Amino acid sequence: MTVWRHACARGHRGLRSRVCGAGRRPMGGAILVTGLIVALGPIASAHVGTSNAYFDGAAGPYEVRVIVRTPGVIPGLAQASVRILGGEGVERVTVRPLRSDVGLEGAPPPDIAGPVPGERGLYSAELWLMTAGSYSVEVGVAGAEGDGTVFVPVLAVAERRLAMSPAFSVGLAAAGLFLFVGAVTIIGAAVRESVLEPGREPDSRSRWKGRFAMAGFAIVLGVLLGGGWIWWDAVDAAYRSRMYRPWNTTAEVTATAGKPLLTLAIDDTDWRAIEGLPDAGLLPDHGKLMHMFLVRSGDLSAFAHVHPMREGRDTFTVPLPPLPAGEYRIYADIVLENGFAPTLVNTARVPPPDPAATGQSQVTGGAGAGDDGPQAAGPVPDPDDSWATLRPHGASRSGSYALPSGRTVRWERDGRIAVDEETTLRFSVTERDASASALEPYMGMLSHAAVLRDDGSVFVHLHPAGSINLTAQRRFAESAGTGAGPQPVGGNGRAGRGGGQAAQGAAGRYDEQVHAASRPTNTVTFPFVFPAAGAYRIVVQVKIGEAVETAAFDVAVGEAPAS
Amino acid sequence: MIAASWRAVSGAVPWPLLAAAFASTSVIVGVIWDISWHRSIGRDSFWTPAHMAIYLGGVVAGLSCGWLVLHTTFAGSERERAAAVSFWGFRGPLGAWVCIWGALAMVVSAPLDEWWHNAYGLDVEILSPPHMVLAFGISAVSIGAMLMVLARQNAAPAASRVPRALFVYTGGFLILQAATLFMEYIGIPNLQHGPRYFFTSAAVFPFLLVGIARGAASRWGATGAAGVYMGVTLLMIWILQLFPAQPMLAPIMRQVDHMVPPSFPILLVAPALVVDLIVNRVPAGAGRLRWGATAVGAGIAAMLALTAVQWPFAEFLLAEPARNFFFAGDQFGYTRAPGAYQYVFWGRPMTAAAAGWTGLTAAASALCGLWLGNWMARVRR
Repeated sequence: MTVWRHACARGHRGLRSRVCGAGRRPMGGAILVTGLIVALGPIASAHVGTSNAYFDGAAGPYEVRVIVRTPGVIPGLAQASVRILGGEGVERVTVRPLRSDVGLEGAPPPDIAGPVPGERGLYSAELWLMTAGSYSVEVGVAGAEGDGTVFVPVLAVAERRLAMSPAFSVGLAAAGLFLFVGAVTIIGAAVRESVLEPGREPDSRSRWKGRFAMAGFAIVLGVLLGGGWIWWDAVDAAYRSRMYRPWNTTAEVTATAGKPLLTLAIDDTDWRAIEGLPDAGLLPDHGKLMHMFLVRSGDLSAFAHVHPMREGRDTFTVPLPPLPAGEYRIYADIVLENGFAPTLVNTARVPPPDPAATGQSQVTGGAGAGDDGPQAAGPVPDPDDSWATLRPHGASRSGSYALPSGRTVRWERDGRIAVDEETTLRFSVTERDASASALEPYMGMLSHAAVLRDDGSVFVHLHPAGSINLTAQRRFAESAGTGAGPQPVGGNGRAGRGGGQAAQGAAGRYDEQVHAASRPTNTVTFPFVFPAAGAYRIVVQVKIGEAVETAAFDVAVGEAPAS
Repeated sequence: MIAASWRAVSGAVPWPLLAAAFASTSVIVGVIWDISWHRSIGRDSFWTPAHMAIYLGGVVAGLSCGWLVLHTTFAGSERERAAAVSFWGFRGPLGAWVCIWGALAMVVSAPLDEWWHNAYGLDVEILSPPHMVLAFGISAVSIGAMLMVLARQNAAPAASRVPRALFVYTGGFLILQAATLFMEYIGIPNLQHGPRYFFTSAAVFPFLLVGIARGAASRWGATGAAGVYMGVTLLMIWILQLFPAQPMLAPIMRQVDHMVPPSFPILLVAPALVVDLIVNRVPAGAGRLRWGATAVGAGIAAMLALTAVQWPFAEFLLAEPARNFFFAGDQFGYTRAPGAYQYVFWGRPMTAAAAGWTGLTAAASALCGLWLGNWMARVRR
């Protein structure tokens, strides 16, 4: 047996510093973060590097795109934008954050989203998120076609701490020094002159008394400033302890007779604390307890979207598809029954593939995969697992990606892409003869996409409906106003894939409803906002017939030009 | 009549002094208004009227005292320059310098507070480092106004009715400011049977009351200042309740339809009266020991008097008869869910040891107040 083990302690240095929280274990973190998580209600997404929420869908008779840019600090102001994509005569757009535990009864009146000048059909408003937790943003649209409402789940967590710019630091220090010297000088003048008869000059004794008073006051003020510094540090430490951080995990690849098995175990005090709660099971998302993405480090030239089984309390295992050997980043999305949706992050070294495997994108045959699957015996791969080798990062900037099957995926860019600007990622798929391909739902969605920054600091799992969890959205709609918070659907997620299948019905049915009205198409779109500048890879997955096709596009995202 | 009164006042003291007194009033009223805003509406911005009142006070203090300093330095008469202290080559009354410092501190606190919000979130508490810088600035404006009045009062104590009254007025606002700063420790009736309330009160009130009593030219300086504190607080209670308000932030734990006022003021006139009576019994030429003993006695007596009136009054404020417009005993912010806890005392009960420490603290606080009052009584510039 050969064992490759990668924990946070020995993972990719850049990745580790951002996601593993090395050296930043908070004081009392277990209690604080547990408190946060217990407070969370419905499901919201927690991706890596951004907690912005994107939604494309219907608000009654109107087609809308809702983008919620989370503030990064809590309490803070989120920016909500609502773009009317379909529907006429819109007269009023409102937004309102609903906290999961108080619902409509404890909600303030909705805010009117004002039209954005120069952008027809775009409305924006600020959302006040005062406490960490899970929110639903209620978006209301009223107009000639009637009224419509839609709920967009948003997770409010503290995920950044503002660094003080050197210029601001210098300015603040200069102002502080000025005030310090000014205060000491005033004390000197008070002791030296203030009690003298007007017109009388201070004598030598008064002057010396003034000097001593200045020295003494400077010491007192210094002590006060030192106390203030300690206070500031304490506030900073407390804030850091409340910041969202990925949970610690261990990843291990074992190989027996050349058949690799990836095991991801959650090894985190916060997870263990939650696990003791009665509602700390897992909920399926698109019918799967875990969506795991494997991305080859460095050139990003291999990608897999697999669905591990839960083995026991903390552990998830999945037979590895025949990926090229190398080190891989792991991003694994799970959803707790209490609503928290963390993305687990780690790395793993994949051994050389079984020569019998094809290495091409395909859907495995599941338990019946036989000789065509990566595993003919032992743990069974999920039938919806998919994987592909891709062009190396940087070699896919043309906007057109030729698939091994002969099909072509085109990125139809229709505008600039810049940090923090709303973007529609639109892709079309054509057959070898240039005819339009017929896309079919892949795990209930027309397409899945992963947007990742080359250094691993950003990872977002997208669907055409956006980044939100549709099961959560439905539950918010059902529970709005009750103040009781949504109740989980069936399936406790503890029995491996069985639990997922038991719960798959509810989520799957909803997904099917969402797409039942969709006409046959070869085009998919994803709403997105790039959270930071840098080199990105967008991996797009669509299903055609029985094959899952995977294409990759590279893009450099820069800062938006000053307007 | 109002015009005649104004002429009498403005003729007795220079306008920058009145401006400083107005600034002191504006900032404290703004702070109380702002706290009510956070308890009633929650959502605020740079431009709320409460914030405007605070900024107005800072601007008025900074500009009027800045003008006074420039005028004194470059165009002042010999008498004006003689009644000033020097500061980096400039000349101006000590109080003007303190006001200017306070205004600058308020200005410096603004970008720091803005950064703080961006880094750690919006305001959820009164006490934070940038708010402390602001509090120091506000305190300096109040103290500066009082010092300017003091110099005027001490120049001719017998013939200075307006400055004497203004000193009591500014002293009252200093008490109000301290009571507001420590509101979370002493201002809520539910806390007023606990050791923290007694300890904090002992640290703050004997210091201020003895200092004001000693520094005032009038016989009832401390009583008057305590009356100003109570009067302004009561006015704020009764006026704020008249204005409608709606909470604008989730979670809203109770329905609020008007501005939530502060709690009924502490009955500070009782200890203030005791302090005035004790301090004013000491002859002007008494020695340090006599003064020290008097201060210690006044401090302890003040706490005894405060306990005698406030202990039963706090019980009254939590009872049914106080739940009305006048006493505002049932006024809670929208973040507080209704419950039985509203009408019971919170925290640990008072103990004999805590009472002992309270007495010691009151004595030390009163001694510090005496030292401050002695100096204030001599301020001439």
